[in-house]
Amino acid sequence: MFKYLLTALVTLLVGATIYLNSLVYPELQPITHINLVLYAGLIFLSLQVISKDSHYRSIFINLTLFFLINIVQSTAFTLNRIFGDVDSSVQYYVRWVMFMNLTVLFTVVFVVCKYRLVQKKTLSLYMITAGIVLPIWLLSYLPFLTNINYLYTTGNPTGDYYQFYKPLFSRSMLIDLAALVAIGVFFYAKLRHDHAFGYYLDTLMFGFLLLVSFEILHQFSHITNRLLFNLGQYATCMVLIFMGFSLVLRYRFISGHAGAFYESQILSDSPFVDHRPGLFDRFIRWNFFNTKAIKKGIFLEVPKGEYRPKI
Amino acid sequence: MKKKGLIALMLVAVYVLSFGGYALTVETSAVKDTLEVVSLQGADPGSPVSPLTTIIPYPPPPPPPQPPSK
Repeated sequence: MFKYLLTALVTLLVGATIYLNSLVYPELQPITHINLVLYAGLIFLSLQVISKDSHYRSIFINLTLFFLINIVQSTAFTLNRIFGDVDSSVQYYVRWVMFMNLTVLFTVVFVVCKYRLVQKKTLSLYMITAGIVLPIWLLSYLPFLTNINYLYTTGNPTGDYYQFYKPLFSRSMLIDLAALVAIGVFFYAKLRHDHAFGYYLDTLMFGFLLLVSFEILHQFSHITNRLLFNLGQYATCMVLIFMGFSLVLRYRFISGHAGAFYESQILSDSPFVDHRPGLFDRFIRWNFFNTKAIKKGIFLEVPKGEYRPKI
Repeated sequence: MKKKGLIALMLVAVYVLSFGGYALTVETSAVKDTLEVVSLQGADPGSPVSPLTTIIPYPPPPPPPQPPSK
């Protein structure tokens, strides 16, 4: 019931934001509104997964928060434009950028911790993630945290958007690079150690890899050659659809009896169970390897009579 | 590398090029402005403004000349 209520609330919020934007924010690209609708859809899908998932629920809670915070911030930014103090909009935008980058880094690092530290409890994982993420975030945005009007002290002209926001984007790039390193660690560890992890979670991480890579590309182009991309939200649209696809696959998988059984098997860490699930892995295997040689079945081939399923 | 792998990579490349081409067609004027006008300040008033980022869906607000005193 809660998931439907929250989805209805979020949809209402997005609808109201789009309507208000059409009145007061005519310069917004239509793709921005499409992405807001996609965020709402992803919240619904993520909540559906949360209701079925027991082992990896915390990852999807983080994901839902990431989508939700972006929608709430969008609505608040629109309302600030109508009712608030226009002079404070820069500070508001700076905070928005800082906190969204924090949620991206947190979501990604949490998945890596969950993968690498299997024995830890969820609360410990949150604390470890915070212990990794917060120092990076605090150090990166220290000037903005000590003085929210830091952009005015850099000497860049306020008349030139591009120069004015440059310090903010260059520091955001550090956070996104940290997220990229975390994703790299995840895929390296997955290929290197190959121990059990939830089905389609690597596909979701691949979505984050695309999102963070596009973000770094934007920021790098912003910092180096003054060439601005107008295509960022189109890239986001593509990534959000991809993430939605991963969430649907995960939901379908864990909803079925066979999927639930297989998930319990890979979590049992049995040496006889293939630990290479996920769309990304299968794509790589199907395309680049001889599947007959590395076995394509769910269970690895073992001599008769040796397999003892753990249920 | 298997032939299937090459075909898959080609399909991905075609998809990316088509997607980029479509986006460029839709955003022709904005991209032209972006490439030619170094600063956003030079763009036509009222024309769509890029969010400059993939995560934040809104463009940065025009900064007032002075920060608010509070």
